[in-house]
Amino acid sequence: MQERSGFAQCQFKHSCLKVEMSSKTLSSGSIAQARRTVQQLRREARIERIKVSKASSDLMRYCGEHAKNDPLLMGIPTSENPFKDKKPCTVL
Amino acid sequence: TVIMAAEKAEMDALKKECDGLRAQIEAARKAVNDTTMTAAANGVAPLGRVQLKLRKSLKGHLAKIYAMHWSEDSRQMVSASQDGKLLVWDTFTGNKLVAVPLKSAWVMSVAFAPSANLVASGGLDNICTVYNIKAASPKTLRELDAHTGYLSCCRFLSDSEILTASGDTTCVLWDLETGKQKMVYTNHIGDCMSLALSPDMNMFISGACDSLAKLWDLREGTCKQTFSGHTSDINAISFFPSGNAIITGSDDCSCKMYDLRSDQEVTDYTDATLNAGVTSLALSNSGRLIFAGYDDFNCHIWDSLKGEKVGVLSGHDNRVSCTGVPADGMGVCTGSWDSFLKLPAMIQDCGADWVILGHSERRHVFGESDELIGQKVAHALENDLGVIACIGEKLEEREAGTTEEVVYAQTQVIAVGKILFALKLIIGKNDALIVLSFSHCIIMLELKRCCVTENVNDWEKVVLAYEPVWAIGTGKTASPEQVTTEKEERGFGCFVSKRFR
Repeated sequence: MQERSGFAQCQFKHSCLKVEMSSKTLSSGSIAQARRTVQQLRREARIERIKVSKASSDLMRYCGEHAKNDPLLMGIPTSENPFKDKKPCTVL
Repeated sequence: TVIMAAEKAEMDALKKECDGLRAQIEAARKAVNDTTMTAAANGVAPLGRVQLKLRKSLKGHLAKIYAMHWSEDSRQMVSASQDGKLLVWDTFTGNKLVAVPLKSAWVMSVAFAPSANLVASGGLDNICTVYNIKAASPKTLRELDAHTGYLSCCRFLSDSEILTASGDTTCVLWDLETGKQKMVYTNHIGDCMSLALSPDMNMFISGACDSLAKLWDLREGTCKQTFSGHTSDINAISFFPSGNAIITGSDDCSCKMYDLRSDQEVTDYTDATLNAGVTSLALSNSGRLIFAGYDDFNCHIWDSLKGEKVGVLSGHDNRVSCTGVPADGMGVCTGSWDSFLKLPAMIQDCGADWVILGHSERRHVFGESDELIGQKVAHALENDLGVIACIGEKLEEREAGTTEEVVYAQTQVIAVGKILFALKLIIGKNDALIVLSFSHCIIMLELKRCCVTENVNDWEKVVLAYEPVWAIGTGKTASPEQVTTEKEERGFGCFVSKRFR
């Protein structure tokens, strides 16, 4: 548990006890848990995986195609910036 | 013993299959690991320094800001603070549009519905409360109460469905029309800290204290994929805008990108100079920029493709607790714990060394809760101010015989703020001054059983003044006997005799 300056984080972050698969208690509860774990791992094992090179190139292409629609990347002309404080006009 | 042997055999077989499956998954991941994102992005032009200009500083909260969420109109935004309020802002003008008072001040998460009709919040009360903010004054629509742990995150799918993540290690999909759970997502073995919906809304991801990120099928309720690699709690999680990758932020001081179709980590965002945990993150519209809020009071900007730090947003005086980019991508908003901590510094500038907190008028006229006072005490001490914390019950409470509970609740809240006290009795002009000292809250419980505290080395920096509200201006005073009764019921007597100075 890391030390934190704010007490709230320290208090609530680790309020939950970890569920451990203990082989000591051979109750049906443990076996049920183990069966669920196996079922979950089977589910995760059977998915199709694509090569990281392909995944990377798709991500790079997405960034490239959407860059022009990314104001934080491209910048915003002052006239179109909705957050800029609007100064009142003075009539001279 | 025959049954036990059979069970053991099955357990061993299951364990063997688990190990086999895990090895199979690792091998499958390795088989497609032909490069890293950073290497693949070698030819991508670097961004150079990304500099953003601070346009608005939204002031209005009185305590730490824990969460914020943009409305889909990219103009309104809702923030939550442990001052017990949600504030809805017009970010174009900086004006506050709506203030929602919370039943419980310990809020950790806030969400804006896509329609902008509703907001939701929750925290240590374990409840997700949904408010209608389009009514004349904010009205509680639903209290979603089934989690057995704190509410760390909530996100609306629509005005009729909301997803929550909880410290009880589950995520839940709720039906807002009935207020009931539609689906419970169970698989994490640590507190769930954060969740994010996929762009197509068919899936969501969760990050937890078990250092894992999980991808869930929203409608089937199953965990489809699990992503490991972090070595500590995952506090923040987000989808890459294409929906094919996810970004996580962790207490291990790193962010990571996992690709869903490769089923593995493809980039690690770590910097040797960054030794602070990641609290929050948000991506720019193209996914190229990652804004990550850290415990070092800054929001660092990463190039998601090249894995390089390209900028920093500084200006907060404390931990950045939340970060958000609106749907139109026009800006980024950061929220921090600093809105309250500036106060003690100001007091010190005035030359004061001690602060009186929890005075009855602040409790009963200003409505300051026990929790808020406890937090103020903790913060004052963190800033090296001595605290005179006032506790005391009202006449109705004394006459109802609830003094012990009220005073204890007030004292416990102060102690929970990790304060070092020392027990001492002062007899002076005020016959009702009791000085108490506690160390960490665990020792506080021992105090209740009348064990002497350990840490009395340091001069106590807190004076607990027992000042019954019923004695103020009523002509009645607390007699020494009444104060003594207070002491003895709680075993203070033994403390006093041992530590009297």
